[in-house]
Amino acid sequence: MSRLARIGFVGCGNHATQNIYPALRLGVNGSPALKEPIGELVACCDMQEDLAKRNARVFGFERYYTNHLEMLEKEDLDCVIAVMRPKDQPGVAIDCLNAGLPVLVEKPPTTNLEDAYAIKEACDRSGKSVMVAFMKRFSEPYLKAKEIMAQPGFGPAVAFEARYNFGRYASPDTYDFLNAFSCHILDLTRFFMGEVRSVYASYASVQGDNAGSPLTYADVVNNPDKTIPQEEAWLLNFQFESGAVGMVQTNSLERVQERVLVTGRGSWVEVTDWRKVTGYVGTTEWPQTWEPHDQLPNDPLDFRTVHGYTGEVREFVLAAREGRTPVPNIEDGIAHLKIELAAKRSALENRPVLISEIS
Amino acid sequence: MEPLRVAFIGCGEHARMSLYPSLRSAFGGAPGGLPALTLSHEGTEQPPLAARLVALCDHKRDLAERVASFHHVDRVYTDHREMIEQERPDAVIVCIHPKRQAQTAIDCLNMGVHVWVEKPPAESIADAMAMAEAAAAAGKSLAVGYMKRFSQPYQVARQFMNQPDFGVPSVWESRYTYGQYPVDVYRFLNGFATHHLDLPRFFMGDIESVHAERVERGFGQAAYAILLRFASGAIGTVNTNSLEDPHSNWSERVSITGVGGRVFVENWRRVIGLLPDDTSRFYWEPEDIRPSDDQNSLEIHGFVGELRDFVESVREGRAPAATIEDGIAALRLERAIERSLAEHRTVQLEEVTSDA
Repeated sequence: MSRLARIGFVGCGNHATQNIYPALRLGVNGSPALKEPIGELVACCDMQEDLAKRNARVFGFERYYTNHLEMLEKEDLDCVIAVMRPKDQPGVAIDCLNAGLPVLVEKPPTTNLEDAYAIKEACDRSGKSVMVAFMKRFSEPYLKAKEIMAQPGFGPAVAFEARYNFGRYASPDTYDFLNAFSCHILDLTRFFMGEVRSVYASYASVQGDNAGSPLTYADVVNNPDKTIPQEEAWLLNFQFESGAVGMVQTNSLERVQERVLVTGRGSWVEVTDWRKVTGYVGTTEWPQTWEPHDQLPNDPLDFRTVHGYTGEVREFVLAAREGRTPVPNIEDGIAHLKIELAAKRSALENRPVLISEIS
Repeated sequence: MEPLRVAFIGCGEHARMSLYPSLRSAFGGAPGGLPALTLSHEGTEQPPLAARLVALCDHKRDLAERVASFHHVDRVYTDHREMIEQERPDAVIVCIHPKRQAQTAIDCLNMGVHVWVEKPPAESIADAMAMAEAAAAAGKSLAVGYMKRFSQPYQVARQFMNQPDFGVPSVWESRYTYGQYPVDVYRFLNGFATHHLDLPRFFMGDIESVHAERVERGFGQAAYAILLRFASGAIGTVNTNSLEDPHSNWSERVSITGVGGRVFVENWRRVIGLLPDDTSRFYWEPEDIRPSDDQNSLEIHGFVGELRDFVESVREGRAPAATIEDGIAALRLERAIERSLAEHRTVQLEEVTSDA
């Protein structure tokens, strides 16, 4: 495709407005740091007209809609970005695929495997791809860590440790904690270590002002009241297909916090607070370190760039122009969902669960 | 109250990277905080906009049209006088080379418009004073964009040192460095170091005298050691140089000593404060792991805050937090440093009333 990619956008919610719309300027068509634009902003859409109108005006879309089907019918688009609740994304993504357009959907792509499979089938049928916005894969700290892991002296990745936490989380009837929040760390685990063979999960919850012993996962899932905010901790032990091992804690008991550590042979790399990278490779006395340059008053320091939002929308638009399937795509979304479901089954059955058991 | 009608003059790189992208938050069009984790935003009211951008201007029409297209600004001009005449905005934001800002700002003030200008407001005291006179004659605001004053780390440090136990602020130390500087385009003290000629006043009050030393290592490569005495009796030093890297980490550091209390700001980010009893160390960093507008670098570094304050000050009919008087004070300090270097002596700021 030689023309600029004509972009449609579905969803004008809080996350889209704060992170994804601004990333279009940074990665697609507006920043002085770009050599040339790669796309143009044609139309945006939200069921709430005031939000759609606001985002069209503020972010420079030519037109706005309150119905995505009408937008797909009336506009000459090359790709669509859909940022909505995971429950709402499959239908919109499939509509776009059926219209012959590649789609970028927010992570997690869906709340269940069936919907993710339906998206994959629509991809196969239409010959178009769905990218899943696991932006941490494009974030500078994790890309630096991968660079350090790729150095010859690092050795094979043998062990993975991570923690990824939040405060008291929404209730399950709104967002499931492991699905909606922890999907990042479940995907990062694969990004750094490759395919997961099995998961063994431990769980504790103090939801509902529970003052006694923490609740088990069975206590929580069997409680018909799904309006109680989630206050829980998951400890996940992994075996990878490579033979490596890993452990992740993800909880909704603290506040936003994140740490990743990968061990090689005589070497390791650590990323703290999604920001500071420290790596020891081989017998060196001094660590390799990296942090964003905080003095830079310009677009490369914008956290949407440091944190990967810019990279993900840019990769999506470039892939759409070039007619290729971007990574991460719906296969990665399915892989994350399988890990999530394996962890939940493990917490119920108190045993390691093979990913191959989840279909 | 209707949103303020704002026009923008300048579409250069700094404006496009730091100012235009800040307008959404500064004008009140951004959601705040973490995503609400609710099923629907239906029924939630959008806060009223404090201002909106109605027109912009740059002498390069193609650049102006590109920026206007991106920011959905309906009208584009290549002449700022024509823009003010046609659009009659309430306020204008000016971000062009300091050599050209004075006349542009004066034109706008004479046409009855409140003005915000990028720092430094001008290259000379004479120009800055002419701007101040034009603002006074017009009865309009003239704000200067010293964004570091509005940046979260320095705001937090100021709050810390305002505690009684901190003691009287007595010593200022800072470093503010860059790589080889384009001195054929901008003057180093004026174009770069102006931030750290303004910040000491922001934290410590007016400056009484200055003694400066300088070393030069090549084209655009020089260092200044600047010794300050404040009207309060406090003392201070500034190392500002163009011998290191452009805006890398470790290029900016501030420390302030009280009596027993001290506070450090490292890399325009991390704030560490101690009080005499040393029982609890104060520690602050932006929580920019959170993906929300209030943790964006434009907000943390004060670009949003300086523009928000300008808009709010005009709406509230008050003076902005950083004015042309602060710009004149930085220019007088700049001239005093140059005079100290030329005459090898301590220069009293009261001696410096003109560029001569």
